[in-house]
Amino acid sequence: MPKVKIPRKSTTIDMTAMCDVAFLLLTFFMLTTKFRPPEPMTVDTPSSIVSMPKPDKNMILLTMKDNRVFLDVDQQQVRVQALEMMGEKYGVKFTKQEEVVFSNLGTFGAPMANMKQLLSAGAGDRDALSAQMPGVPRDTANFDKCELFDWILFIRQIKQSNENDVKIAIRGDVKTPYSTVKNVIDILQKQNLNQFSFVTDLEAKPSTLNK
Amino acid sequence: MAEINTGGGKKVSTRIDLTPMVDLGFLLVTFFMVTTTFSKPNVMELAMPDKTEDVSKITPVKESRAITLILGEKDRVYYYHGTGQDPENTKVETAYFSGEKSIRKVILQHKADVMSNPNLSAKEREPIVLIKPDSKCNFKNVVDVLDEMKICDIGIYAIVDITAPEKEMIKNVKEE
Repeated sequence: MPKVKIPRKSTTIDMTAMCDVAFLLLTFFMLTTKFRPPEPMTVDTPSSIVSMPKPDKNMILLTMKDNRVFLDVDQQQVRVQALEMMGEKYGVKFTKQEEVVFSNLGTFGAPMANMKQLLSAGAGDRDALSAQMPGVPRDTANFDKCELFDWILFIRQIKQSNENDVKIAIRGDVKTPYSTVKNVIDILQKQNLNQFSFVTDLEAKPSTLNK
Repeated sequence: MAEINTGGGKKVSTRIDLTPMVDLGFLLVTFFMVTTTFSKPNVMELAMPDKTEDVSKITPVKESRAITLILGEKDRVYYYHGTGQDPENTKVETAYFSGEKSIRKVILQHKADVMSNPNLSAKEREPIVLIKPDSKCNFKNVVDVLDEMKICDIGIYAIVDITAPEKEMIKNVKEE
């Protein structure tokens, strides 16, 4: 019988195309990943089974740890406007440069009395100084002088004038005492904000329930 | 002129093996994919009862539908059935977030009881949970108990302030 000749083919394939795809995806993910902004303190959030992602925009984020409350809001323009309004009420004048620093500050917990000190500090010392701050003061006995109340109120006013509805997210450390949580909730309810959300980590739903 | 010896004119292929590079690429892609999807925090929405609303206009809750959970210190949950109108005759018990005496069992039992209670009309057969955090409990307890509401599928629940008689009630439990 005549032998059938099978032509031998090389098993190596051209990897260039695959390499292209891999790096294209890599570039995409690298660019879309947002790294966590620097925070003055580490917060260990409690976990829950809810899986609703936190919206990024139009959000006032209140971070609680121990007895301190820190505040963060998106949009640099809003931050600058709110700082001006707070400065006006509490009698502090800020320079252009300090406003720029504030707009990039991220989460802060400085009382208005210490704000200037924090903003004029060198970039190297600022993180350490921010971590030492006592948190935004919240005097629930006197809402006229409650800085946290004013911050939230002013930010809401600014956002509303831009026709944006602002949501409140509360991010607390596991060990935060309830008295702090209650303080914050009282301040929000004073402004008739009865809906807000708690930031949590994802945890698996218990399987024993499916009976 | 001297010529460079290219080894008898043997041509070296310019192609290199790209497999390790692809491996590396996909490894990094996987890393970024995983970190982007999991680092995003979740939010738990919560609506508090409106304080400005006129309390007298609200129809009272039937005692048999309600269960009150008091969050105490050291991850303890004190609970009693009803809304605590009669503190003298209310039996307060202790539960924990996990283990044999878990609060989940208590809630599920209460839910089952309410749903099969013949004294309630079909409309009323839905449990109501009142959550009263004591000032000594921590944020984790609050989130955990709200989580239990989601797990046990409780539709009606609210965070309410703890009252003075209730503070006394949980003190007595501790002494036992």
